[in-house]
Amino acid sequence: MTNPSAPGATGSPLVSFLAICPDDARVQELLSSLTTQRDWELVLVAPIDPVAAHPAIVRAEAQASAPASRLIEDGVAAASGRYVCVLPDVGVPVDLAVPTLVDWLALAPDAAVVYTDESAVRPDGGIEVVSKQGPAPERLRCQFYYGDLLLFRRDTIAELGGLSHDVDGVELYDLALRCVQAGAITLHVPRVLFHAPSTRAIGAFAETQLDQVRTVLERHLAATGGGSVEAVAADGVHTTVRPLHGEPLVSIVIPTQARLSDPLRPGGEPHSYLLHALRGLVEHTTYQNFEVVLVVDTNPEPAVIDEATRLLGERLVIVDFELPFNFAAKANRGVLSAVGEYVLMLNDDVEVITPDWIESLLRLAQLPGAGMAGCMLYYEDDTIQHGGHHYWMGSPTHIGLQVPRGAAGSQHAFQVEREVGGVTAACSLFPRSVYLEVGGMTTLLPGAFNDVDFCLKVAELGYQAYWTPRAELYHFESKTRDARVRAYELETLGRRWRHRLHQPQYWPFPE
Amino acid sequence: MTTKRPTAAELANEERVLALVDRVIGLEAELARASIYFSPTKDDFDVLEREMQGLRQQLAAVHSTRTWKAGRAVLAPLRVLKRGRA
Repeated sequence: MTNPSAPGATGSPLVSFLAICPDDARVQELLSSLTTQRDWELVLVAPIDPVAAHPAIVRAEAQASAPASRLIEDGVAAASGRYVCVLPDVGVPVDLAVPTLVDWLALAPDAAVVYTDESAVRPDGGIEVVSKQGPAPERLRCQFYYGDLLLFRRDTIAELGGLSHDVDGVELYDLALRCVQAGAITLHVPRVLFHAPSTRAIGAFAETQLDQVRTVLERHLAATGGGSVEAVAADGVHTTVRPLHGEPLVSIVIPTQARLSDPLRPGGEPHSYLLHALRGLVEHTTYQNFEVVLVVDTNPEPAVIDEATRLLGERLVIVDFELPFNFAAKANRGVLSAVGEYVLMLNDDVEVITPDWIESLLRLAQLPGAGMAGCMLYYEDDTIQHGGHHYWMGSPTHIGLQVPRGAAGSQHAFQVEREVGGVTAACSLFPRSVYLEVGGMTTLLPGAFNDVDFCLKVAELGYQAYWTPRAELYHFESKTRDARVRAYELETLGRRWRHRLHQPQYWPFPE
Repeated sequence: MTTKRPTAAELANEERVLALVDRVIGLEAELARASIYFSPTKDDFDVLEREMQGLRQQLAAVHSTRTWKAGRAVLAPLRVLKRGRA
């Protein structure tokens, strides 16, 4: 029998699958799934040789009592593949997994870390496809979301000095984070290449491993700009936060008509969404170094302006806007009139929920290369309005629309800070310098999608957008303006950005 | 890192610069989009080529204006900062 995986046979990279202390049944299961494929070897790291025989099997003697990191290193030492993949105790690479990996690696030969989508069996017996976000270092510090078919370049492991031996059971998460620290290229193959025969909690750890998880995350944060670990959890969602650098002035820019709306209840007083937002800002916000720039249409309600002045005193700047309605132009005028190092664009129909919302946004906006940070917005019926922008098949929308508040989201996406394609201008914080560099918001889009265009410009210039669930607000969506989308607005946006309006790397779902 | 609040005249000028920067980035995006959606039939090629020539001319016109050059001068330190950060 010839070895189907001989590395010279196809000129393709060999993948070494490592099975740690497998029994005979497990070896047979793996061979069954791999035997029709090419470019692989199976490294059995075991104290006793399983009886299975196959030309692609490599044996690495090991002590069963050795820590996992030692067993993995024994396997890596015995492997000859360019990539190694430590297999979990259950689940198998699917048919065509290796050829698919090889095809993608041909396009990204320098990839040091590779992960894929996978499938699992749901509790009701159905098959669940587990789609993943693309490479996202900030999400990775909150969640080991790469999953089970995770490949590392063998020479990269060597360059990093091997595995860490003091974080038993968490060494692969540690290795993945160290690859990020080293600037190694990570490749996501958005194809289902692994199947688990049971429900899988992506990135979950045993309770006994949580101390090691904390150690790994603390080291990672210290090596990548700082931060702190607030909580680690067995479900794989870890609360880590980046540091706040100083207390820079934040200019909160609010385009508004500053008028009164109908009473919220029959017979009640006329309501001002703006004043409601400002009261929340003043009474519930812990961050103190801010100014508020109101960009106000002609003929505002004097009582609203008076009360805003009383609430904010010298923190208030009022800028007149005498032109026909154009949200983008109002936003531009507000930012140009602001003097803060950072600008927080805010709609006038919001209500602050989390007191440290500005700090949470600022921590992300201060990251190197950050273009903006956005928050979690809820409708008044406690469903999600915004969990980040979502660009799919030419249409921009919001992640999480109308999902109940408190839902974890697919792979806990609503519970972790993560990279996104863009965030809504209803509440977003960005360096003022970035806003000026991209030419602000386009006045070609007076109502809808000016924020999408802004986000795409920011991304085009190489800045990253982030989203956090730690800044929560209600958004009484468009209670104070016309929210209809006109055909020309989508056409104008598409004329510029149709080639950028499909970004599954940030949210790999149609909805 | 704070700046003085602009006068009305300064505000108007800065709004013009902002609009020009936006237009240039927008045109560059349109060019990229047109290139990606290029169709190899001759008729399609001719249409796209004309569209791209028009966009290039608009870009050149924007780049040659005094306001654009002034805007570039204003934003130059920002670009240096960005490069330093990358």
